[in-house]
Amino acid sequence: MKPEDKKLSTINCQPSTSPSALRQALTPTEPKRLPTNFAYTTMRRIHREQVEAERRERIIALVTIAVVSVLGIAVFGYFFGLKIWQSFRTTFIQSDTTILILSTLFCLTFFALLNHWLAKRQAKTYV
Amino acid sequence: MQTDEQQLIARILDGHAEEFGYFLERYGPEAFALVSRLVPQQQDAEELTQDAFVRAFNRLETFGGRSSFGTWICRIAYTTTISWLRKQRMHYISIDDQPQLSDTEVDSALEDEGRITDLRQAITQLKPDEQMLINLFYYDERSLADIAYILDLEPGTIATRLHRIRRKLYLLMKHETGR
Repeated sequence: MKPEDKKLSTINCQPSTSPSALRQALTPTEPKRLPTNFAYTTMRRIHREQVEAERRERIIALVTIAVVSVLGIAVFGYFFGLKIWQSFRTTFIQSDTTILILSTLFCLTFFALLNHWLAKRQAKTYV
Repeated sequence: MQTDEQQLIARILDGHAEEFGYFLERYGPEAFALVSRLVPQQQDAEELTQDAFVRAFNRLETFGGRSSFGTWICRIAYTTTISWLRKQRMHYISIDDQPQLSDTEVDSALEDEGRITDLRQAITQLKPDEQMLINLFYYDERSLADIAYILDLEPGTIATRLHRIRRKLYLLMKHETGR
C-alpha cells in the first residue's frame, strides 16, 4: 500500500506514513518571512485602490449622464426642435419676456455656482 | 473563531475596511509560505501575496464560509500565483510514464534519505500544480477536503495524482542521475 493510500484510508491519521526523504526535500532550505510592515502596506494599497475605484465609478456615472442627456436633447430636438425654435423666436421679439428669461438664466447660473461651491466645501470636510 | 471571523467580514462589508488588517496579520504568513513554494524570489512572492489579499478584499462578499478563511485565501493565493507563472512562460520537463516501473522501486527511492539533493532538484522540475499538491499533502499535511478546495480538484482524484507525481519524481531523479 502506497503512503497516500494509507493516509486516504484513514483520513485523519498523522502523516507519519509520508516518505521521509520527500518530506525533508520539501522543507524549505532558507525559511522566508513576510516583512513586518506587510499588513500596513497592503492596507495602504487597498485604500488607494478603493479611492481609485470610486473615482472611476464617478467618471463613469458622469459620462453616462452626459451621454444620456445629449441623446435625450438630440431626440427631443429632432422631433420638436423646429417648433421650439419658432416659439422661442416669437417670445424673444416681445421685450418684456426677454427680461424674464435673462433673470431666470441669471438665477440658474447663481444656483449652479452655489451648488458647486457647497459640494467642494463638503468634500474638503470629509477627506 | 469561525463565527468571529464571519462577524468581522460582515463589519468590513459594512464599511469598516480597516478591520481587514486582522486577516492580513493572521493569514499573511500562511499565504506567503504557500506562494513562496512556487516563487522562490522573496520580492515576487511578497507582491503575489499582496495581490492575493487585495483580490480577497475586493471579492469579500463572495466568501460564503464554505471553507475557513485561511483555506479561502490560500486558494486565491494559489490561483494568483499560477496565473503569474503562466505569464512567465516557464518550461517544465515532460516525462513519459513507464508502466513497467514497480511501486516498491519508487517508494524506496523516495524514502532514501541519501538522495535528498536529487529529490529537491526533481521537485523543482515538476509543474506548479504538482509541486503544490505534494507540498500541501506531504509537508503541510492538510486535509483532503482543503487540498481539493485550494487546487480546485475532485477529492477522489487526489490519490491518483499523488501516485502519478511520485512516479514522475522517481523518473526525474533517474533522468538527472543518468545525464
